[in-house]
Amino acid sequence: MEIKSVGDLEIAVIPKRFDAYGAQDVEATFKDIIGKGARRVICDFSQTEYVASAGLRVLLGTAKNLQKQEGILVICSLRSYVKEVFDTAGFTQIFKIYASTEEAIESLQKK
Amino acid sequence: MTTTILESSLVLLQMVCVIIVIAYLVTRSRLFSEVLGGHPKAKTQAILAVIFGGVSIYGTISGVEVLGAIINVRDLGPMVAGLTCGPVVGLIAGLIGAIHRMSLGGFTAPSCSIATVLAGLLGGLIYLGGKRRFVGIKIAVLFAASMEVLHMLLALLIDRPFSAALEVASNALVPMVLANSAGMFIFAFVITNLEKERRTQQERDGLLREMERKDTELKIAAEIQRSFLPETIEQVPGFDIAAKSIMAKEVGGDFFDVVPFEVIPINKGSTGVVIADVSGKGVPAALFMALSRIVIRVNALWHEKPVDAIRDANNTITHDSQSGMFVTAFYGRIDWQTRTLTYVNAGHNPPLLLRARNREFSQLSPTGIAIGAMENSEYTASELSLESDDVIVLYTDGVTEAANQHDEMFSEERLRNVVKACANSSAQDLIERILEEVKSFCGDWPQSDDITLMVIKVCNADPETLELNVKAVIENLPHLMDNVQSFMRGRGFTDETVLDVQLAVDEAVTNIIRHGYRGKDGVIEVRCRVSAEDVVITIEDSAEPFDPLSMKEPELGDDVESRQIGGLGIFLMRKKMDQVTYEFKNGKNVLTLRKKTMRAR
Repeated sequence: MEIKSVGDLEIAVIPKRFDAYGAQDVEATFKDIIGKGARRVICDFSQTEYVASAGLRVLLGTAKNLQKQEGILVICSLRSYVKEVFDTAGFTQIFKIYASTEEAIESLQKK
Repeated sequence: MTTTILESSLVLLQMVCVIIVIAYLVTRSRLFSEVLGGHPKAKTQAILAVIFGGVSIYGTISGVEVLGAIINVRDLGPMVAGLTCGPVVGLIAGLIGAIHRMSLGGFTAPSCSIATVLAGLLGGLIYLGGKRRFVGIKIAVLFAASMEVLHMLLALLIDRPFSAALEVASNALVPMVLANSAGMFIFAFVITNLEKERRTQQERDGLLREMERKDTELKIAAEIQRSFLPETIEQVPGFDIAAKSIMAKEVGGDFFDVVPFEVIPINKGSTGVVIADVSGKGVPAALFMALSRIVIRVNALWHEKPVDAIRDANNTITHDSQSGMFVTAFYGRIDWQTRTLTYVNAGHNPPLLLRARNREFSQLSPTGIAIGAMENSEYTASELSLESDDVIVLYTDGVTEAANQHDEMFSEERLRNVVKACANSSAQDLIERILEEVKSFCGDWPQSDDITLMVIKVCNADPETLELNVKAVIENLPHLMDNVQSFMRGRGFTDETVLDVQLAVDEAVTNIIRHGYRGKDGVIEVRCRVSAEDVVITIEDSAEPFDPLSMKEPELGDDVESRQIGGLGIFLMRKKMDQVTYEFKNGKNVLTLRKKTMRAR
């Protein structure tokens, strides 16, 4: 999974299909960067066509993990179909969602 | 010492030039534009009073001796101050000039000083009398002349000895009147010009504002028309249809475009396609296109036969059209079951039909005249049957008449060549190819007419089935999903439906891999079957009997800490599909997913 760093923010580009297959790489990469000290993560969903429950599971797990370590995980650039799945799964209430990467970066940098 | 007339005149000329410069600088300053605006601030008035007081002092200092009397324009400053800013400013300016004059002494000091103050005051009264607007060149100059006469009278009244005063006054009268009138003329001229400029600017600003308002109204109108004249088209099962319109740049018409094509879902089993072209350009033409599209659409939905639809549409449009506008249109009705196309071509460029069986072109020629030209026009319809891989290309003459700098036209021949070369591409790709070819043909030559294209590709008729057997490992998911995706696409489904099916299959298969086989070797059989009404996917596996539907729904809405995701996959599957059923049959778990496809009402 592609990761970009902006200051202390890590921007992860979530793959086209965030299903059980795609989630493997995502989970591994997250474990890796968090182990190396990353605490503030922005998940960029601009490439993602759909998210399956396996993806949601990894997202939630990572977010819980980060929260335990005083970190934060936010989401940005959801396509309308993916946003709908998030709504259905109740995830829009759990995560902070931004319209674009720029907005997410700007907002997190203020904190 | 008396100076010669020539020398005096030169000095006067110098003085006049200085006055011109002062007049220009003062009146073009920001302070003065406040004055012209009619409501100068107190601070501005004070500053201007001082400035004009200074001009008055300059008038005294620059005085020149002519015929034994000293000619000066001391009164000019206060006069202008009074005329443009009112009595208070005039008075103050006059006082400044007067005090300075008094300090110089001389037997004419009292009359001169009083005259200076009066000049400012009277100027201010004229200003008030003229309702606070500048009184114009004529009155100003008249006032200046009169003021100097008054000045001379004052000298006679006040200055002593009388004989000396009489001599000075009689010598000085004419030159003083002339000098001050000239000075006043200069000021008045500059001010009047300024006022004219301001007026013109205000007019222009008013016009610009109105233009902006009209622009906004047009934008709103454009949004409204877009909401009931969609630019996207619905897919038809068994056909791959794409369309695109590129408007020529038009002043004022940039956002009020009405795309001249439409796909009309008529009923279960038939779809109408329309392409049209309006004579004329700009907003009136766009409005006419909007009208025509709606009338044609309504008639297409109402009438069984295309001939009747176009005949009635023509009568309605002709009846309402008083501007002499008309629209060429092609209206075809596709019957999915019988795979026939029945069409009426009302004076439109004959669409191309490329037959798959012999790779030859034919034209769908006009069957009547353009719509809106004449009431009760007669139309006929033609019918033809379509076969798999046939391609129909509908276009407007913006395509074939696209010109390049050598005055050549793209022509139908080039269009045919592109279509033939890309006959196997998807409808969307074919359109892009044609547009690319037109663009590279025209080069830098500007587009003069709207370019519209619609491509209808006839797909395979039989409700095909996709069958896949995959090993139950996560690594096979992408391959499986790619297959499902490309099978679903180009079969008349909305993008959303395609994603829904992928998601549901993804969840189901993942479940089987993780919870069914649980890492053990196994095979999963996936079968997709598409029909006109729905898509049915069956997923079979030979793992332990397990009914995934027996899991309860997850709790939604808790915060990050306390969420559990049990059963989320099944939940999503059920949400996205219209029907999910399970049975254990012949030793296999059989999960059946069914989704009704978005079809015509």
